[in-house]
Amino acid sequence: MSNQTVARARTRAKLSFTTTQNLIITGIFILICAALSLIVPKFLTLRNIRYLFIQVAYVVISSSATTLVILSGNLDLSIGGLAAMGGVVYALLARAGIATFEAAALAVLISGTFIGFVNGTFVSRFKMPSFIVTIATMYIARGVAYIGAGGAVITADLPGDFQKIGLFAIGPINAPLFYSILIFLFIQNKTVFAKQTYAIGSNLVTATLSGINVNRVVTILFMLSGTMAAFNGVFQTSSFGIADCKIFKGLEFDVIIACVLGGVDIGGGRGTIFGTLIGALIIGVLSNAMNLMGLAIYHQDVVRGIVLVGAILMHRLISSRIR
Amino acid sequence: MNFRRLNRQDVQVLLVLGFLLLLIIALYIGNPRFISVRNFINLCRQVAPVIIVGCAMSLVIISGNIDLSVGSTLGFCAVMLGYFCVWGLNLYVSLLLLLAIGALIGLLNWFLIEKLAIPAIITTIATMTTIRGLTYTICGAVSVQGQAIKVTRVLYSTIFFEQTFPIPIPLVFLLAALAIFLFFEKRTILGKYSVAMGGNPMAARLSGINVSRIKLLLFILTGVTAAFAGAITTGSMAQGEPNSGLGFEFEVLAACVLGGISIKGGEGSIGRMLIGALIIGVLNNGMNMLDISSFYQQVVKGGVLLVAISLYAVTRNQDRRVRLSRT
Repeated sequence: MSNQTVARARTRAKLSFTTTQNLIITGIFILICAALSLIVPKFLTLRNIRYLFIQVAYVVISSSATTLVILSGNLDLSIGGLAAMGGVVYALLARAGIATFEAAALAVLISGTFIGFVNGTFVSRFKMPSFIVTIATMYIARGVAYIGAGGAVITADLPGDFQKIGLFAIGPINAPLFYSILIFLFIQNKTVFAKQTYAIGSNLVTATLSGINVNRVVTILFMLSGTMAAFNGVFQTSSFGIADCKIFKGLEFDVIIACVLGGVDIGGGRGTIFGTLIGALIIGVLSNAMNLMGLAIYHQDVVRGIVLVGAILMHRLISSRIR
Repeated sequence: MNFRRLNRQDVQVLLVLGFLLLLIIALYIGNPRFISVRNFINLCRQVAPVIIVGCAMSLVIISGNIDLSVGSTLGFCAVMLGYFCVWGLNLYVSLLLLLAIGALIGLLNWFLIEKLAIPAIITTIATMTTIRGLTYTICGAVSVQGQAIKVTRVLYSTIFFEQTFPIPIPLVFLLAALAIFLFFEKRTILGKYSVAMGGNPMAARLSGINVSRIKLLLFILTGVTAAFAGAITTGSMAQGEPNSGLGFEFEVLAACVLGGISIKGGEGSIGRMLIGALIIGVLNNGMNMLDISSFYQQVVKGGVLLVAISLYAVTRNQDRRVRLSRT
């Protein structure tokens, strides 16, 4: 019986750990927002909040799915390439006269789901390190994007309703952002699939022995990540109204930074999508405020690196205090 | 010679070498000028940065670590060399300063990884973004230009051997780096200790290896080589270009993995990285000669990488099967 009590206490402790972590990150986020709204005059305006959501959409849409990949103990470095390829393929299909929604769906299927499937198959069935497999597919997808757009930007002959997907919004929040968060929060909290992902990330051998079909789960994870990345590309391309083969360079690193900020363990098994979301928002808010203060994009890189190191140290502090 | 005597590593090396040879023959058939003095010089210039940094990076990967900050270090040093020349510093003094900067960046990486115990991949992503941001901040995101930077051309030019056969200077650097690092790997404990650390970090620590100091050395070496590659890059353009080295970390990683260095550590050698780097270099160079656009080159590079790692996976599985059948 004492064992049971201990076990129950442990479960409670672990649950409260994640919750505490999320609470602390959210608290920090609110503090940052409060501080910025005092320092930066234009920060707390409806117009700026709308911009803010457009800015963070770029990381959030991908990171919701890619967080799950990281939770399973893998990495997906191909998402930047997949997003660029998705956008370019969408523009090419739309220019070829295919209706907007069909073109978008096809682009997502070809450049996201399919390449994600390739990633997942190589990683799970052939037991190759995800790090390398996704570097290879990153090259391939980026190359296809370059070829499709001729190394430049596709602007000409795009149909009139090309921007329909990107401009669809609910209040200040654009719809794809909203739904992707909802869907993945649901997947993480309410499905067995997510539990299996956590199991694989914390201990691969135990997960295999307890009858989880690891190959299938990992393949599906990569397919989800790829799909969301390509959708991200389609969405952004649509909202800009042009297809650029050079966009999304470094998206993979931005997502990793958001995950780490949100308390996701890069080795897998620990972390939440909610945390990643807050992490992405923190980065987004900081860049937005720096934009408002008139600092150039590249100054933000300096801050981002320092914030990343600080975040890791902070999470270490939290976990050492709680245990 | 009995084929069964060859172990898995030998088979892999032979396969990759065979592939390189086939590639060279195919490209020669495609364009006979592929094998010419002029193209040889070009090839040496193109592969020099990857091989020089790859030497240090292979040891880092073999020891179970990773350094993604090399591209940013390269860019930062390229810009700094431009400034040093504009400020009127002697080329050799500025080169020394550059190497010191590289060593400092390596030290910073080591401090974060070893003293603050942040995983190498996250540390070097952080330093990668920070250093790149710093580079753009310093030069305002425009390349550093000036007559004084023409001095650096010397790092990229050729010396003539008896007025007939030109030797590109990057080749000299490349060979020097290879010689130094092969010495480190084969004749000092650094190579053995790297393999030990990558194979089983705990065992390495318990058997008395000063893991922390070896790591320090490895990261400093990586920083220094990246700084030197930055100098060569500046020499190639005679200007300090802040965008140089974008994606360079992946290039070096690809060379290492293509040669058969295990990303999980504990397996591989500098020689194998050399083969990998040559495959990538020859592919890029040869496709340029065949007038294939650089866009397709990325696709081909990714495809070759995928094929190579599948090949390694297959031979690894066979090895496992043999071992299982013996027990």
